Amino acid sequence: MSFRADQRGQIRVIEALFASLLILSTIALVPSQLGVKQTHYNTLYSEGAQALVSLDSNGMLSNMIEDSNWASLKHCVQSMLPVSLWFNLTVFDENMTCLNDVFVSNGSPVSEEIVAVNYVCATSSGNYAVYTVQLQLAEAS
Amino acid sequence: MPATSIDTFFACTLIVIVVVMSMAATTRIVVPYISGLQDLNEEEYLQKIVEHTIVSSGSPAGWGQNQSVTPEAFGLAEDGSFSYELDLDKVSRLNSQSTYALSYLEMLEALRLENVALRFTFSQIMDVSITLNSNVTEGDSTTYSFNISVSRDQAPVATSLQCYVVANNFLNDTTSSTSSSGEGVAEMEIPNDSNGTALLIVFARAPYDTRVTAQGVYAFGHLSSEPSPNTTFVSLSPLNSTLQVDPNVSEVSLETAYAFSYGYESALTSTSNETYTIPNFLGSSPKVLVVTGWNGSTFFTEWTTYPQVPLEMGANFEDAECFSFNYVVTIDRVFYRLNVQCGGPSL
Repeated sequence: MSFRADQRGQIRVIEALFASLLILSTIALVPSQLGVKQTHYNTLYSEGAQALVSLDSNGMLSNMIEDSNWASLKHCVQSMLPVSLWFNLTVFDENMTCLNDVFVSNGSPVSEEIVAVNYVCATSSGNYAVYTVQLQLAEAS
Repeated sequence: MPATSIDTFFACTLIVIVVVMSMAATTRIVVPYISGLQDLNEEEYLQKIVEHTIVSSGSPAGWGQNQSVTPEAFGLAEDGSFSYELDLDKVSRLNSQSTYALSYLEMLEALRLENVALRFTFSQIMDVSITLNSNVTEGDSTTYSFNISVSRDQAPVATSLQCYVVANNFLNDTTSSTSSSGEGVAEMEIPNDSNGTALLIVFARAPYDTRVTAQGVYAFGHLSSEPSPNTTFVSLSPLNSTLQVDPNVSEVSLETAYAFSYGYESALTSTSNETYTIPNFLGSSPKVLVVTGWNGSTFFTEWTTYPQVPLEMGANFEDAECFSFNYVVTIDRVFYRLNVQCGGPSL
């Protein structure tokens, strides 16, 4: 087979097709990963948000924050979430100053993918303080 | 044939092959992605349905309390609640052992959904397991020693324990605790003349939140043969703070009915031959309702819980693909775990 100068276009076409194949195969890997990550994020976010809402029934969550009862808060969050989940809870006041002087957490993160859930609660006592609770969650991959 | 024609022939063939391969590859790549998107949408769609059932109270209002009412719209939440607080009567009506239980078909009709299957599984926030360790008869009484283990997802939990024992004309209580290993011991002394089926009722409570309370019941033969399975003699259906007792065998005569919770106990007041009023106790705790009686010469002690949890209700997803959603819900100021399995149109 010989390639003459005026027939180099054929090689370009083949080259373009190979390039498109490469692009398609790259694209193939991206959406499947995105789907998995999205589901994973939704599950964790949903579990975290639901746990905080349940925990705050009758204003219990804000009462524990007001009393700076971090040990109880840690145990409560622990009992609401599956044992396999890592969590770290941080409480901020209205000026976004961190209030918990101890870690409200069950250890070190088990995964690099961490989902954060923000929840706003208010005390039922006279001062009507508003707190922002940030619950970070991770699941062993 | 000239070399140019062979060149063109090979180039065209290669192009056709690559185009066909590209089309095949694109199909293989895109189809799973599209179906993956559908799955994602379906999961969100089903999750919204499930959330609707646990945050809406359904209609008519208070359908759980009224035994003759079948809901027009299904919702398990307490009227006016916002934070996953479920109504104890609505939940109790999902238990197939209750006389007032809703059928799966009635639930689906009230949900107004087609091509969606659901299964609700309620369980306690902690598991309380009781085993009889030893019994020693001395004089006119027998002392029983029980090992009690409390765990959550197989992880041990340190709790305070409140224990009650019910036997023939005998009622007693004691307190104990489980250590950080989740293990504890309770000892109970029962007079020998109270022979027959006896019950040990244990309530375990986490020290940091009263809503983290669970119960366990252990039936044993006190100087008698092994007890018959629960609900052999009577069926117990609590609803709207009233306990309905339906005999399962003839010649049953009821003696006493009790209600127990963490820290509180009460004999129930009979409103008719087979109904008793359930008192409202202070504090957060599941209630255990016990009925004692005689079937001929056999003494029996049978029990149920209020709300009637644990329970499973709905479609059978064994060996079937489904989505599973987990929640922690509050029923009568106590935390319970709820798992909802859900199958949609494409599963």
